[in-house]
Amino acid sequence: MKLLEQILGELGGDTLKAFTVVPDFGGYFRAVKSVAEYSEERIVLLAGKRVITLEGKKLEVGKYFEQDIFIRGVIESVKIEK
Amino acid sequence: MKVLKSRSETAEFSVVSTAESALKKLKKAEIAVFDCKKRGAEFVFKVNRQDVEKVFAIFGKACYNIRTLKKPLSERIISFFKLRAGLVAGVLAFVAIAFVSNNFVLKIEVSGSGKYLESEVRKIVLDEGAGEFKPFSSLNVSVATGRILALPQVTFCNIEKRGSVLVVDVQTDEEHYGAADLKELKSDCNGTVKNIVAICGTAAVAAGDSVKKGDVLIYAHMLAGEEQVKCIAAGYAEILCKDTREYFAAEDSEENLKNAYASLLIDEEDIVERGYKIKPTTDGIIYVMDFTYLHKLSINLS
Repeated sequence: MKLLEQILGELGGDTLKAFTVVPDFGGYFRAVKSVAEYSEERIVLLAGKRVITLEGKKLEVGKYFEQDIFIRGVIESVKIEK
Repeated sequence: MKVLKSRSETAEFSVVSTAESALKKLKKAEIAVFDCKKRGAEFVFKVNRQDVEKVFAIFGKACYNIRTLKKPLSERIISFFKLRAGLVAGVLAFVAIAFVSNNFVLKIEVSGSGKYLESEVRKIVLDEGAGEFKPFSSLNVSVATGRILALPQVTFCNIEKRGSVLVVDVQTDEEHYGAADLKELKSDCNGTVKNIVAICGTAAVAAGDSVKKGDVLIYAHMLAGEEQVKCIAAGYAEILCKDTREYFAAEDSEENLKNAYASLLIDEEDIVERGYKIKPTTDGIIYVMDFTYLHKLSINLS
């Protein structure tokens, strides 16, 4: 995690907008403003001007607080749109 | 990143709403929400206990149907006891009182066909450690049972505790029921008391006392504390009596002397001491026999 932060820091990336996906487990997303769509197969997150679309199986919100959200389930694809 | 709180401190909600709308409202209220699931038209989620009131405030509008599915077990138990502290205290007090009182004897009852022996039975159980406001365990049941069975005509005895009542069931021989002699034991001769045993009642004399014919040996009453209560007298006494008898014979011979002693009609083994003198007469002789014998008297002993 430190290496990732170091790389992002050196390259000028904003770690607040980073997210982590663990296969067959779920993903952790930050800077999420709201949930635009919610179903077991598809969850759409609004993160600032970006729209993050998650598709998979048995998706559910494991935790959502402030701008951090943990999606539990099998995430098969993540699509980021502006 | 926020650390998830323990699940035991959460409450689960179900609302009839879209997940998107519900999550938006919860986020706006800065409520941490987790374990979200869609269940038909319902959106099920959990929040921390401290956010429960906020959730009710958010979804308090008429267009939402809110119900708490379940609270954590520990929370429910604590809440139950908090809301019913008085009841719980009362129940505990009742259980404690019932437990304590159940171990103590508050009343002694004598039942059965031997109820007429109540005063004797009561005295025995009191002697053996029972008593009102005393624990049942202080009673020596086996010894008390043995002593009660030794009472006249008693054929069965059972001592048990029913609740706070010590019940002594005494059964007597039906054939002898009511046949008990209610009189005192009196001496029918003059002499010296060698031995006196009063199973019931009160001994009036002690070993070594001199008694005359008609004197009371065992009273038909006993002392219960300072109170004198009537009862049957049961027991026996052995009295050393002196007497003189005469026996006429044609001549002094061993056989005539033997007949003279036989005329006393007293068992050899009961004669403690004896002697004789010969008084001559015109037709023969008279044996004048001085003797001491053990005379046994008893009352209400089968």
